[in-house]
Amino acid sequence: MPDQLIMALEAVFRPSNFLIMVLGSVIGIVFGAVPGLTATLAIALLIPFTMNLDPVPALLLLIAIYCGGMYGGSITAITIRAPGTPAAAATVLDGYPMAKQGKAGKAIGTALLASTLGGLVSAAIMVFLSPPLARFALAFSPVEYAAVGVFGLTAVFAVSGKSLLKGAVSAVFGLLLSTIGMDPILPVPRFTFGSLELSGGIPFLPAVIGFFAIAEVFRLVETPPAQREIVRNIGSVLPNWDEIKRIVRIGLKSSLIGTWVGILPGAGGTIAAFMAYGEARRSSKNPELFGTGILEGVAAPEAANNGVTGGAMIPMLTLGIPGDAVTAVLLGALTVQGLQPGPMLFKEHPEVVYPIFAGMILANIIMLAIGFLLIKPITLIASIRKEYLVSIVAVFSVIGAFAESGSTLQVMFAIAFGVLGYVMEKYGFPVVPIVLALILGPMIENAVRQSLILSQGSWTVFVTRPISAALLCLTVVTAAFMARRQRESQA
Amino acid sequence: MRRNALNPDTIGGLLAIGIALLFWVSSGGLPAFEVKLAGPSFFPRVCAGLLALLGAALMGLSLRAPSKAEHAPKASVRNRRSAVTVPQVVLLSVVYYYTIHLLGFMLSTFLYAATLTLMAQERPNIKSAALSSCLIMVVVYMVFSYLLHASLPAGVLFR
Repeated sequence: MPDQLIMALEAVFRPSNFLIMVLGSVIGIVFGAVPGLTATLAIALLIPFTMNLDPVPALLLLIAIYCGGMYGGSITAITIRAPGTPAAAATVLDGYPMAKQGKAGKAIGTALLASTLGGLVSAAIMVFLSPPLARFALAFSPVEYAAVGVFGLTAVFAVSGKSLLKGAVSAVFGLLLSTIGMDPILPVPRFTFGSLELSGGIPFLPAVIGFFAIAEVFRLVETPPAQREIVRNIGSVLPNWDEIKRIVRIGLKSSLIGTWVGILPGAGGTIAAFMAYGEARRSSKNPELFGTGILEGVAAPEAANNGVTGGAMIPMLTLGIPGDAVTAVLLGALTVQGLQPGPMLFKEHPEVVYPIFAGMILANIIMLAIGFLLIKPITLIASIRKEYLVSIVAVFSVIGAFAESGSTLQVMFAIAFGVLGYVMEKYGFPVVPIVLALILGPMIENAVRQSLILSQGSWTVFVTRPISAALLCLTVVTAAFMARRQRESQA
Repeated sequence: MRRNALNPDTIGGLLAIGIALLFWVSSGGLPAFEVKLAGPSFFPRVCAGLLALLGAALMGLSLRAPSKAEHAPKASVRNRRSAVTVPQVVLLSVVYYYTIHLLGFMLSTFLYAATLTLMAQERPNIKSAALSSCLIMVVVYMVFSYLLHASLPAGVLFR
C-alpha cells in the first residue's frame, strides 16, 4: 500500500493531471452554480471528450467535476434563492436569508469550507473502507453479484420522486432496454429487429446525453426566465476564526451523515443535505434560529452533500453499483475507458484506483482554492442568459454524442432519447431509474443466468448462500423503508 | 367531477403494457437453452411480465382515483410558447443531424447554434446570436482539432 500511495501521489501531482483537475473543478463549480446545469450533465457531456485521454487523467477530471459540482449549487442557492443543483436545496433555507442580511459572501465562504470538509472526510472513509470491501467482494460468485445488482435497484425508490409506481415502470422499462443487443451467453441477437446498429445494444453515452442534456435543452426552451431578485453585493467571504470552529463542529457530523447516505444506493446529495440540516437543527441549543440565516444552517447541508461524493464512490468502485445518478454516469466513464468497476478493478488496475483515491482528496483541496478565487466571477456566470445556455448545452450534447464513436447515428440516438426523456419527465416518469437499469440490467441478468446454470435451474441457491440471502433481506428492508418514507413525505 | 379516462397515467399504463407485449412476443422466437430458465428469453419475459403488471396497476390507479392522476404534469394546460417551441427544437435538431453530412460539422454547428439562440431569445437579436455561435464554433474547433486531434466531417459540399 505505501508504494501504491506514492505512485498515486506522483500521478495526481504530475503537472498535466494537476491542471486537468483545476479545469475539472472550475467546470464542476460553474455547472453546479448555473440553475439547469448539474454535475451529472457536465460529466455526461465530457465523457466522450475524455476517451482520448488515459484513464487516470480522464477520471481525475470527472472526479474534480463531481466534487466541484456538489459545492457549486450553493452559490445560486445563496444569491438568487435558486439552488444550482437539487442537493443545494437545503442551503437556501439559511443561505438566502444570510444574503438578504448582507452576508452573502460569508454564506458562500461557509458553504465552501463545509463542502471541502465534507468531501475530505468522505474521501478518507472511502480510502479506508474500499480496499477491504473489495477484498471481501473478491469471494463473490455470480449468486452474490445477482443479489448485489438487485440491491442496487433499490436506488429506484430514492430517485422516483413523487410516484414510486412510475419510478418502477421506468426502471423495468430500462431493464428491458438493457436486453436489446447480442445475448451475453448465447450468440443470438435480441430485439434488434434486423438493425445492425442495435446489435451492440442501446448505446449508453448517447442515452445519458439524451436523457440528461438534450432533455434539459427542451426544458430550458419551455421554461420562461424566472424573475428572481439577485443579491449582487457579495461582501467578504472569509469567516473569522470562531465561525470556522462552528463550521468544523457541525461539518464533521454532517460529513459522516453525508458519507453514510452516499453509500446507500440512490440516496444522493439532496437526501443527505436535508437529513443533516434536520439533525443540526434538532441537536442545536437554538433550533428556532434555523431558517433565519445562521452559519450552521448553511454548513450542515453543504458538508453533507459533499460528504456524499466519497460515500457514493465506495459501492461504485468496489461492487460496480452506482450510489447516485452521478456515479451511474461515472460508471459509464469507467466502462468507456475499458475498466470494469468491481473488486477486480482493485486487483488488476491499482494504478487507476489509488490515483482516484488521491484525486478525491486533492480535488476537494483544489475546489477550496478555486472556490475562493472565483466566487465573484462565478456569481456573474451563474446568471447567464437562457438563450446562450440552450445553444451551448445543445451543441455540446450533439458533439458529445458524435465524439463517442464518430458516428452521426449516435447523434440521432441522443436526440431520440432526449425526446423520450423530456416526454417521460413531463408526465412524471423519472429517467434516472432507466439509466440505473441500463447499467445494472446486464449485470443482474448475467449473474442470475450463470447462477441458474451452476445450480441446474434451482432458485434456492439465492437464499441458501448466506451473503446473497443477507443482501436480499437488506433489499427488502431498504425498499420497505424507502417506500414508507415516501408515503410519509406525501402525507 | 367527470372522469377523463384518457389521462396521461392511463396512456402511460397502456404504453407500458404495449411495450411489454412487444418484448414478450419478440422473445418467443429466441432459441431455448439446456437450462430452461437461463435461456435468452427468460429475463426479457420476466421484465415484460413485470412491466405489464405495473402498467395495469398504473391504469387501474388512474381510473379509480382521477384526483391523483391530475397531480401529473399538466399536459392539458397549453403553454402556447412551449407547445410550439419544443417540437421546433426537435425538428431543428433532426435537420442539424442531416446537414452535418451536407455542410460539414462546423458550418452546420454554427447555423444550429445561431438558430437555436434566436428561437430562445425573447427579442431576437441576429448580431448576438451570430457572435455567440461563432464563439461556440471556435471553441468546438479548438477542442476537437488541437486538444483531441480528432477530425470533423467536412460535408459533401466541401470535400
